[in-house]
Amino acid sequence: MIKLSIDGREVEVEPGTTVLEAAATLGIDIPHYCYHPDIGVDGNCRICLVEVNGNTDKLAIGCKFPCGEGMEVETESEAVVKARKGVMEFLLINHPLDCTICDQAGECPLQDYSYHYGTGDSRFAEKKRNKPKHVEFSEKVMFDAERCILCTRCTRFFEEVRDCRPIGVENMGGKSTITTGPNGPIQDPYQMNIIDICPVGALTSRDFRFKQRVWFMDFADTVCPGCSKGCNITAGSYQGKLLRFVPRRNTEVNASWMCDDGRLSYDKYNMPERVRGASVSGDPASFDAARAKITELVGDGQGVAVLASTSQTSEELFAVREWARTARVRDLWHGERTWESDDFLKQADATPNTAGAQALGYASVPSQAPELRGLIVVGDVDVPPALLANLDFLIQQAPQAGELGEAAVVLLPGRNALEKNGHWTNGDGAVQEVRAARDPGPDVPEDWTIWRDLAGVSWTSIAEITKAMGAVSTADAEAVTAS
Amino acid sequence: MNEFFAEYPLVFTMATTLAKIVLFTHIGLILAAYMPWVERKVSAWMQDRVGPNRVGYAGLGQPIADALKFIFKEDPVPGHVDKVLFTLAPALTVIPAILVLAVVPFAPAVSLFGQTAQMAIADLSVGILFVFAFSSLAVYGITLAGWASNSKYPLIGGVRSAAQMVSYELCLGLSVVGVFMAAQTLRLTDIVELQVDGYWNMFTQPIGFLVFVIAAFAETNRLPFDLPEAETELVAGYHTEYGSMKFAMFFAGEYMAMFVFSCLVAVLFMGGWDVPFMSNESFAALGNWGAALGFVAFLTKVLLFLFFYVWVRFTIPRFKFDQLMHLGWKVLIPLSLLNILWAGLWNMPS
Amino acid sequence: MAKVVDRRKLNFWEELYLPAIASGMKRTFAQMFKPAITLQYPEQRPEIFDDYRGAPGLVRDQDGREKCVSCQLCEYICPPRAIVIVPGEAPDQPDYDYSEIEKAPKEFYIDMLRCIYCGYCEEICPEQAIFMTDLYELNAGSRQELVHDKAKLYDVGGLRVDAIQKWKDKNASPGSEERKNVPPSGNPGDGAH
Ligand code: SF4
Ligand code: SF4
Ligand code: SF4
Ligand code: SF4
Repeated sequence: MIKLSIDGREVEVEPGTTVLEAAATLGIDIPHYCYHPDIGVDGNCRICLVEVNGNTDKLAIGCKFPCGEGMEVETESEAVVKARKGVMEFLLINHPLDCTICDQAGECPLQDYSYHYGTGDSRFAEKKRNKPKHVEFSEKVMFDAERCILCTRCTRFFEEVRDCRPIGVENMGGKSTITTGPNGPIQDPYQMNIIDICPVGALTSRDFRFKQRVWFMDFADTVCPGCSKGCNITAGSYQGKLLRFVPRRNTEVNASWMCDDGRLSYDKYNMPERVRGASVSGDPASFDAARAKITELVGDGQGVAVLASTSQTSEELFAVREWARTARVRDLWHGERTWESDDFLKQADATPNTAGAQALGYASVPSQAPELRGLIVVGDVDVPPALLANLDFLIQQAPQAGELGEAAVVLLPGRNALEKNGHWTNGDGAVQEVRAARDPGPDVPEDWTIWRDLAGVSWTSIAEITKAMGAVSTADAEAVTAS
Repeated sequence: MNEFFAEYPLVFTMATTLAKIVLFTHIGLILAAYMPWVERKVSAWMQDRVGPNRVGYAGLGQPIADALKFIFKEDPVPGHVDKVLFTLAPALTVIPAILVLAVVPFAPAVSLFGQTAQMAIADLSVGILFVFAFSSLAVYGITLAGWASNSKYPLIGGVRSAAQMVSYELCLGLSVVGVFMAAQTLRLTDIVELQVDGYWNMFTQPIGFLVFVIAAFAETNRLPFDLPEAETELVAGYHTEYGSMKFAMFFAGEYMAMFVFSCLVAVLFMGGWDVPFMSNESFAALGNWGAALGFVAFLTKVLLFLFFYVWVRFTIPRFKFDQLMHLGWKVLIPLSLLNILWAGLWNMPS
Repeated sequence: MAKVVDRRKLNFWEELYLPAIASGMKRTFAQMFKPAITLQYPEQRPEIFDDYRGAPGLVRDQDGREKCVSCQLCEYICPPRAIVIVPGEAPDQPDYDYSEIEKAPKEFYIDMLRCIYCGYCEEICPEQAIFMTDLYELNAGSRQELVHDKAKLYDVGGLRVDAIQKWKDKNASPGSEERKNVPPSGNPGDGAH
């Protein structure tokens, strides 16, 4: 272990730790553009300069400088601030005054550091460089060369994380810029991550472009429902409408990344058309009436099975199981849905909580399904057609009814994956907290309350169910924003 | 004619009484209708403004336009009110004010067709008691309005009104005791006639006069004592929930009350129909012309006092509630007691 | 800490209040004979000063160009949240002088029932696209009509001739006619970029 002091505060770190990382453990933020915790050090932007052992002649770059025994580091000394001001002035010489039309504004480190180290004025009376401003890197990514500060995070992402080189730096000196290679537009299915890591507004999402200012949006830290990887995300919405997903750093699960398919899936959770309120035999009914009908239909539970979606949180599945126990329904099955997996994040299981469902005793639908009198479908799930033959009754509780809805005797509303609270267990067994990113509006109660009332239990919050389920270990690792 | 009425004096009495009712109440009502106009004009002058000037000459058509507006406006009755009392309350403020007019002597007696007619609708021997009995009823209207509205500001207004009326009723009653002591009668005509021959009570009993005037302001809920409707704190006080004609009735009630109290001040303290340097004989000598002169003199005094009402309103700011109570109980009541003592000494049989 | 204010002890006459009331009455009475200073509004109009703050409106520049780039700063600063902007992409016109702007409001609403005429929107606008006009008569038969939409706002704002044309100057070469309009640095925020 190495002992050093940063800004007069003692800290002990492993050998090989950089000054920037050591400072982060103390909560000291050393500004940086080109360094990114998940793609490593490059050292080209020079904004992270720090003063080591009082050496003001030659400042060190914090992102690369390893900690040494007894070192004394100053992160905001006079010399450091002066140097950073110089770096900022150079960066801003040719930077366009685009904040008014730039999607990065509001979450732009260049803006943030300008407040700290900018001068508010420019000594540069000459004409700024003009560079191409809307270059389509692909149908998902737009590039603005004027805003680019050539930190090369984007090229290094492809090289180090994706092992390919669809883009690179072209030309030299003042003319250098990022460009796509001879193979044309970027093809990589993880390409949109460069939008997040680009510290400025040079790379923007063509999907989210100009949709809304980030400072007007609401954000919820939750988990991507796309597959059993369970990438941590921050879901952004404006007035209840989801506008984007961006990955949230979790070194245990997804580092700082997520796949483009998951990222672009946000719109389907806005669900303008959905089940609202309960209905019995196609007619709107009160929840009381619906519950009475369910109890009547299920009877002694013989020949009745539950088929639950693995997009339901473990708490919701637990509530269903609790009801099934009181109603003596013995067959608890979970649905299955797959998509094409790949070698990076995407898993074949396209639902987020299969492991959680199995841990609660839900089984796959047996290939030789027993004779069924009734089926209870919970959540957004694909029902094998074989199960639907010879049914007396079908009960459905789901955000959207789909084709089944017409056949359902009792139809109850449900919340979709972005409207839930609770926990999901991903394919690797990590239990992660899920938080609602939007409110579905009237007549869509939380799923667990429906089953709680049916089971006659007295839980008042989802936290109580979590407790009832037993110690759920939250591997919801430190939510470091990917920057 | 003369013989007919000599034979049936009752017919004469009935005819003249009817005529007097029509005449006097209309004087009251018309004045009540035009007082807001006067008030708006005078306040405008005092504030370097122009005042109503759009409807008719100098805005004289304004009261008519306002009345039409009140009549044609939707009459809202909020769902949460006590319907019966809510409707009754406005009437309860107007009716007592009009009733009090019955005992006010407007002029010396008139002789017609060989008969004499007193120029008060009913020249009761207990005139002043009648006045107090009815004018205090007005508080019911306001308090009921506050209560029936079933919302907070009207209620506060109503409660304030009740407290204020009770306190100032006392000063009002005590301040006129001196007048009876001097006149040794309760009949208003007699009180006036005594002043015509002697001095006006406002000179012989200045303290009583002052207390009466202040109490009259409080009784009519006029600034500086308009706490029951204090716009700045209570929205509109007891009539917050009222609109259209019901509101107009509160409005009319307030101005009727002002008119009535102006009449009372004139009768009790300012010599009624007296003109300086005239005696009862000289009025009698002029015959019906004397009555007409008296009537004009009386109306002039009333109008002057009404102007005074307006003048005060736009000069003196509203009291706080504690100041109001302090003034009523700790200043005016002792003063009116002092006035009684003074009146006793003044009229001591020598 | 409570601060004790020493009040002057009133003398007997002051305590009575009557002299004060009398002098007040005298004052109001005298005032009745002074001339009125009222403006007879619909016929006579008040003089509108240059920095008057009437209804905010969006302006076009001398080329008839939409200046607002829907940066939404005015929406952010507006104290009563009267402004709602639906941002959008400007139509793509490669040959156009201003093709770099890319962004333009799809819709722009100001709820004039909410607006408090503070002028913050004008002050904060980085594009000088929104101005307080001298329009002070706003009336309508419904609340909806008083929510000014983009068309109405351009109606209200009209045209404004600018000395500095930021986006146009940006592409002009140094020393050219257009560049001469740009003041040298030292005037931050005024085009010295
Ligand atoms: S990248 Fe940042 S500083 Fe540059 S225009 Fe965009 S928001 Fe402004
Ligand atoms: S596009 Fe963004 S990430 Fe790539 S080099 Fe430029 S600033 Fe860096
Ligand atoms: S008016 Fe100005 S501040 Fe408002 S969005 Fe447009 S450019 Fe931005
Ligand atoms: S003037 Fe003020 S209140 Fe009105 S729109 Fe502009 S910022 Fe909002």
